[in-house]
Order: sequence, then C-alpha cells, then structure tokens
Amino acid sequence: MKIAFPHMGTLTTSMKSVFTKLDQEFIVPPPISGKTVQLGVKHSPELVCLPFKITLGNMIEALELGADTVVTATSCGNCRLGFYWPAQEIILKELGYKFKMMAINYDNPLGFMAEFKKFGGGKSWLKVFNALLFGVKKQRVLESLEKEAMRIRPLERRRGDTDRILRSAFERVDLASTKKELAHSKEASLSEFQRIEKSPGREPLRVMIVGETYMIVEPNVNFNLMAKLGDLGIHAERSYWLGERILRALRLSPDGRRHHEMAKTYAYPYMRYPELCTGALSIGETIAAKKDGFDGVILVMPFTCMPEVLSQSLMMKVSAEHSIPVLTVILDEHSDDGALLTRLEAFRDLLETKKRRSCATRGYFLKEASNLTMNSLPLSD
Amino acid sequence: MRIAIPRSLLFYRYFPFWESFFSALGYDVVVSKPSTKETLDEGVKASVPDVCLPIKVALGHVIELANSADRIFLPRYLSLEPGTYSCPKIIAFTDMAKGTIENLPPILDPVIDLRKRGNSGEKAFFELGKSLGAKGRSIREALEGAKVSQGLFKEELVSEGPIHSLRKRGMLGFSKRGRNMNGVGTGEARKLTVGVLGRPYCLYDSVLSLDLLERLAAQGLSTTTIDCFSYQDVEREAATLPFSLYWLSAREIVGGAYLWLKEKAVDGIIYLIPFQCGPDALLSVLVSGKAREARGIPFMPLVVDEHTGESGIVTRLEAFLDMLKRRK
Repeated sequence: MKIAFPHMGTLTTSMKSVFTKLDQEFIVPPPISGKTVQLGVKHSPELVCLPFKITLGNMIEALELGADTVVTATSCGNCRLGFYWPAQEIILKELGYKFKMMAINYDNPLGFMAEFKKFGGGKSWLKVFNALLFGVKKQRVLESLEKEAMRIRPLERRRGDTDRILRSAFERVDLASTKKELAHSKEASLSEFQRIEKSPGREPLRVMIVGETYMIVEPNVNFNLMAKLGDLGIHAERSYWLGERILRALRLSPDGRRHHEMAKTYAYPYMRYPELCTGALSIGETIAAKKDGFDGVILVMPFTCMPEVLSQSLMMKVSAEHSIPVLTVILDEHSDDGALLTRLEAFRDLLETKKRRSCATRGYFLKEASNLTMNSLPLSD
Repeated sequence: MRIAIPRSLLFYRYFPFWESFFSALGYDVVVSKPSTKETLDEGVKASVPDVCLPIKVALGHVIELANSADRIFLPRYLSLEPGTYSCPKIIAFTDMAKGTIENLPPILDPVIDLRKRGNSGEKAFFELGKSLGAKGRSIREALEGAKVSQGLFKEELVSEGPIHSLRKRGMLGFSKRGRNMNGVGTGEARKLTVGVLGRPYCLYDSVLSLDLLERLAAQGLSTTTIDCFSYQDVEREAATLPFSLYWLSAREIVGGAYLWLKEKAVDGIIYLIPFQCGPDALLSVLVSGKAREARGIPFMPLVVDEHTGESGIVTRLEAFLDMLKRRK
C-alpha cells in the first residue's frame, strides 16, 4: 500500500513523521504549483471552493507518481468538507485511476486514532498513539517557528534573512525523529532567529488574520500572505494554529479554550451557533483582535466559501461598530500576486494613517494634562 | 397585530404550521408576494455579492415586509430532522437580515433544534407564545391545531403532488400562478418523466426557478420532484451510502435522486442549482456519477444566477428534451 495525502501547510511535514513512525510507505505529492492548480480546476465542478480543486490536483499528481491509496481528511462539520472525498473519488475514478480512498474523520479523537491503526500493518494502540503524539508535537514546533518568523520578518534589516532561516529550520525539524532531536532542532532554530540583524526602533503594525483555515495555512495557495505582510513591515498573527486547535479539542489548553469562549461571546450579538456557522468565529476573533490592540484584521477565504461568506456579510457592521479596519481577501484560481500585493499595500497605508492620527490625538490629550507646549497636531480621527 | 412571514426558504416547508399557530392565537398573518425581479433587485442591493441567490431573494422578501408589519417571523431552525442540520446560511439568515436591513420591526426568532430524536421544537413555540402574551392553555391548543395542519400538508404533498397542494393553500411562489401546471408533479401517465431536483424554496419560486416546472409542463412532459418521497424513504436510502449526508437538503436531494435512479422512475434529471449554492456544486458530482452508472440516465445541472436570461434556459431545456425524446 502506497499512500498519498494532499498538502496543507506545515501539516505535510507532521503527517510524514506520523507515517514514518508507523513504517507506512507513502508518497508526498509535488509542492503545489501552477500545474497542480490547473489539473484541479480542469476536473472540478466550477462552483466548488479552491481547497477542493487544489487537493484534487495534489491527488492526481500523487496518483501519477504511483500512489494506490489516497488519504484525506473529512468532517461532518459546517462546510462542504464532508462531501469532498465522495466527489473526489468519483472524479478520479472517472479519470481512470485505480486506487482506494480513505477518508479520516477528525470529529472524534478516538475514532481518529482508530483510523490511523489501519496503517502500518497491525501496530499496537500504544505505537499508534505515540506516532500521533509525536506528530502533534512536531506540528507545535513547526508552528512556533512560523509564529516567530512572522514576528521577526517586519524587523529584519536585510530582506529575506528570516525566510532563509525558516526554510532551513523546517528542514531540520523534518529530519528530527526523536523527542530529543525535535527539542534540539527547535532550540537551534530559535537561536538562529535571535541572531537575525534587526533594524532598531521599528514598531510594526499588528494585523490579525482570520477566516478559512486551509487558505490561512497553505502559503502556496494564499500567495505567501504571511511573508508578504512581513515584508510590508506588518507583524501578522493568525487566529488559527492547528497544534493549538488539537490541544484545545483534547482539553489540554485552558488558555486557548478561554480565548475561544470569549470569541464566541463577542460574536453573539452578530451571529450565533459557532458550531454550526463557523463564520461566527471569524467575527468573534475580529472583535477579540481589537480588544488585544491589533491595528487591523484580514479575512481570508476562498471564493464560494460557505461559512465565511456569513462573516463577510456582517463584517462591515462589526468593523464600523468596533472601529477596526477589516480587509476581505477572496482568492480563487484567477487571483494573482500583484493584485493582492496592491491591496495589502493600500491596507497598510490606511492602518498607518489611522494609527498616526490616534497617536497624535492621544498626544494632544497628554499635552493638555501636563500643560506642556507642543507643535500643533491634527485632531481629527 | 400583524405578523409577517417572508415567502422564502423554510416557508415552503412549514407555513401551514406557522399560519395555524399564529391565527389560533388571534394574530393576522401577512405573507410577502411571490418573488419578482424587484424582490431580487432589492435583495441584491442589501447583501454582499458572494452570498447565494436564494438568500438574496429572501432578503428582498424581508425588505418588502419591513414597513407593513408589526413583527417579522424569522425562525432559526438549526435542524429539521434528527441527525441532520440546516445549511449555515439558513441558520444565520436571521442574523444577516438584522445586520444588513435597516428599520426592521421587532423580530420573532424562536430557536428550533430537532437534532435529537424526541425533540419536537414545541417548547420554542410555547415560549414564543408566552413572549407574545398568550395564555398557556391557548398556546397548547394552538400548537395542537398547528401540528394537525402540518401533518395534513405533509400527507397532501405526497398524495396530491406538491404543485396542487401548494396552490390550494396559496403557497406557490409563482407570480403568474402557474397557469400551465395542471398535472405537474402528480406523475400523470405521459410519455416522458423528468425528475427535477432542487430545494423547495428554489423550485416553487418563479424567480429562482425561472418557471422551470411550468416550462416543462408546457412541453407536455410529466415532471416529478423529490417531494413525492416521504422522508423515511429518503433517510433509508441515505443510510446505505458510505458517506454522511449531514445537511437535510443534501440528504433529500442525493437520497431522492438515488431512489429515482434505483426505481427507474425518471427518463432524465434536471438539477436546478442557484448560483453560489455551496453544497450543490458537490452534490451534482455525486448525482451525475450515479446517473452515468445507471445505464446513462441523462443529467443536466442548470445553474441560475441574477443575470440568467430566459432564452438561455429555453435553449438548454429544448436541447435536453430533444435528447430525451431521441433516446426513448
């Protein structure tokens, strides 16, 4: 059995480690490229969302390389994900590929483990559990490095330093096969990040990214959004980290849980039932970002995304009532790099102007309070 | 007091219940007029561009009612049958209407969740009655009456056919009142039978369906919709599939279509897809795959958006019907 699985950001690396630990033969599809997108789009229904098309492209490329089993995630949640695999199976079989489709439902942690027990020829529950646990740990390490890179990128003096180190850090983590090596690779990478030369006295804008998870996570699909923002001098943060999300589902992250509950409460006046309409969470995260002092929010989603269209329809109101600028980025196979960059630049300018004005206003009140003389400052906000 | 109900979304499923409940409590029930181009235009103005067509039309209906009623009834049906739930856009419709339409009268939004077996949603209506100031006993009586009329309606849908029973109750969403539609949906013996797939709020709305059922009837065809099956049949069929159909509309469409194909009840299937409908994009793959397996029953997805012209639809229908006739 040669299995293949579609890409999803850093998850690809952790999945590789899980299957290696289970001694399961696998094929990693080539990185997402223009060809992947083309293949996916050609064989998908027109109105389906981008993640479907791209994962289909991944599957085709992997099957071409000789995979005989396709493993993919599914969920009976609040979006079309639950219908992905039956539809992809029909499409691929009609293209003439002979393979087995295995859909792993992640709604319930125990069932999830049972699914993985099918791999690697009868390994014990303990072995399967350990392999998964190591995968989660690796995911956490990868994401902490990504987070650090997002923090340092706007501060770097020479453009590209962070990306270069992040790439080598990912490679180092990919090679780690024991807990000790993993911890070591994390330490080494973090200290390399520390050594990056930084420009002094910079105070980057802070922007929170909310929206659809696949589009947030996969840099080859969102036109490397995080790096773009960093290069524009923006410290981007993400509302979604897979490792954190898993810990929260297993009730091991009290802070994450508290934050999640707060976001739900914030969203309540605008939209309810976040278990059934995930769009509500993006609204809650937007308001939470405002309270945490972020300068702006970017809502990322694929064209025709079901849950996020709901949040988009209420974002105008949320943005006005909480005075937080929101940029909606809707991506599909026709989007291009330059158009996205232009919009991000315009958004940065807007945030900078807003920040300058509010600092100036605050300065004015300080001046009044301490009775100092200062140059005239613009008062309008 | 006048309680307004928009002629959209779940109206086509639950109106007899709602009407009987509110009239028994002594309220006037106002229903918006069948959709027209203006309804759609108003709805488009109020909504974000990326939301699906039925929601745009439904917003248009709410706008129409905003000035003419004391209360608007926009229930939140989280789930309609055990083990399934509603499309997120239907669940959040109340919030969308509140967030995008100005000057709305107070909204009645009971939360009905039938995910668990044995939960009938009556409690939500009981509390709704209480909040309107009715007495406990009269609410209970109103609920009993409402359940009876809903039950009658369900039976009628299967026995008399949806068009006939909807027209009898004034629930049809056709502005022209469906003149040519005698016999549609009753499975009268004619040469060709076309199965028309789609959600009730699309099929029975003349703007969303572009009078599809009427056009087919005018061609002398017998048509049938998934309302001809009882939910139990659909559920049994859906349970045999390897994947879970967790949305009710998805379950009805896929289950119903598979039943048609299994019973060889139709000569062709037309799937009416409103633009931007999330599930339909994938469900059409599931249905077309099965149709090809079943000795190649012709299948045509028909996507409708706010710009679809009549002639485009007519041409495609004619071509499809020619193919059906040739095959016969």
